[in-house]
Amino acid sequence: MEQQEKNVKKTPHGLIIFNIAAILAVFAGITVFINTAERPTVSVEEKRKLASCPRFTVESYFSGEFTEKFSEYYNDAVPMRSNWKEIIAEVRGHLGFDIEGGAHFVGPLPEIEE
Amino acid sequence: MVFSSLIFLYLFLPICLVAYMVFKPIKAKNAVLIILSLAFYSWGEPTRVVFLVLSAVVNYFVGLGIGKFKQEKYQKLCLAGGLIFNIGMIGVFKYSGFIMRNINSIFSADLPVPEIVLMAGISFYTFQVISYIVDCYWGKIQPQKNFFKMLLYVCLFPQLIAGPIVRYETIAAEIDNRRTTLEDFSQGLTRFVIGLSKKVLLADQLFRIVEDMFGGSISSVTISGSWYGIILYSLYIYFDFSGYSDIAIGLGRIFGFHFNENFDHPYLCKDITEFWQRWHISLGSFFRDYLLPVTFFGKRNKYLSLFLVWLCTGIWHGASWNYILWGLYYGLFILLETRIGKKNMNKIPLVIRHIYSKFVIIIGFGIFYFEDIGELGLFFRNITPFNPNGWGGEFELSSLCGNVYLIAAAIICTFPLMKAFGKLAEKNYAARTVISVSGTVLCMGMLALSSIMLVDATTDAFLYWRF
Repeated sequence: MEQQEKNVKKTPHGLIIFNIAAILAVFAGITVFINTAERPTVSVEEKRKLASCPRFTVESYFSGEFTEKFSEYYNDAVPMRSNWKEIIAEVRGHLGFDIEGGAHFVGPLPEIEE
Repeated sequence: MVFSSLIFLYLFLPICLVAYMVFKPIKAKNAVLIILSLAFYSWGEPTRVVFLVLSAVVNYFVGLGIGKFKQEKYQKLCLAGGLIFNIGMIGVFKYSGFIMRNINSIFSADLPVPEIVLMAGISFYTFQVISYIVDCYWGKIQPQKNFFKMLLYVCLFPQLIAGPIVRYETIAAEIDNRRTTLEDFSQGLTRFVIGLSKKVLLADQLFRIVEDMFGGSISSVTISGSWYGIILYSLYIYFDFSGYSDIAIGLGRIFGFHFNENFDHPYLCKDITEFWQRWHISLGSFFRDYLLPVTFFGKRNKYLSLFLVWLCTGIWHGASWNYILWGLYYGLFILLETRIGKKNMNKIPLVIRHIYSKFVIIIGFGIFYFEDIGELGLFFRNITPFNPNGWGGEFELSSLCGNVYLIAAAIICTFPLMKAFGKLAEKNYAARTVISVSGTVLCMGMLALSSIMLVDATTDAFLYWRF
């Protein structure tokens, strides 16, 4: 009886492997894509140049400038950036519904100054 | 480096996983973790790693000293030296500016205010090393004789920046010898994805609405807007911080470490005492185990000791008066509940206890949010009928409808869903298979969606980084 209970409680080996393989597949897929696909240099929609890869020097590393700029470049110049942005806008548009005739604000309300 | 960033997820972490898996001996695995943890911590501000290593060095020798001396007075001396160093480190890096500003303000003085950049995670790793030396002094643990093992305990990157505050005894055996089973790896990965999703899909999105409400001038917010904003902030802070803890615990599992839980569905609490048994458990238990037993005010004055604990809880969160107020505010309610007694508290209808606890918690997060005392005063005015902007409606209603699915999902996720599904899965193999496979598919989707959402979230660091 106890053994039977243990068997029910223990996750089958196959399911554990399936879980690891499936999550790692997504993880590995994105890793390969993000590190090998071509990175854009400009964003047409945002009308700006995207961050570029900084040059490594010992001074820039120890001042923190290199790591900071590299992070900026890595997160900003993402392959297929505009496509992901469209998906993000789509997702945010489906977090609820618009009330009829109601306005939908995005971002902090600007203050009106005299 | 932030966990919820593409560079961590898809550059640092893959390198880390591969390097860790390639090496088989535990010494090599530990070396990989130390090197990568220091690289993780030095990212963006390489000099701060010096203070982290210094902390490890000093506390390593303090531990050795306590272990070496047989006479208690020398052990006490070592402990006192260690405590002065650790508290001094936090004092200088976190509170010196605040103290000088207040001295200048109170005595109308013009003393120079040091502009020291707060080192990420200093409060967390300093509390870890304090627990280490105190446990050595109390004889609960044997001092670590190998410096590199001590360094690994201090700098282990999953919990370095924002906890949980891991006690040495929790991972001492695993530093020496550990293996990651398939189950550990699977559960670690799942926990990691859940934490990331809590942060990116819930917390970050909720914070956008909070900014809509409080990002401009607080003086123009309506009554409903103030309540709506602060309720969502309460949800945000839970998902932000517990998301970080989930990521830390998940990564720990992947590397073979088993950290203690830091959250236990805090919004299910029925009173404030229970809330603090479920919220930031590692901090609460730190003060309970290391500060409360110290009889500063004599054994009879337990209430003063209680207030000291809550004052310290507040101060720990930041160098600002609102955090001190926040700590004392909770101290007051816990004192009240202690005076009423558990038996009498249990006699109060459950619904009323739930309403009372949520009300206190939500108002408490109002104190937590507004660092400016003037703004905090306006917030308190705004949640009452004395708010000159009136009840409001259109803007709040529009925002609520526009985010209703997100808010509903956030509220649902405060419940112990995993436990419920776990119980359901225990019934039979078919249920287990269906739930397990569905969970995996859901995790895949959440990981992909979180990664996409991160393209637009480059600056949303975890809130508890500040502490």
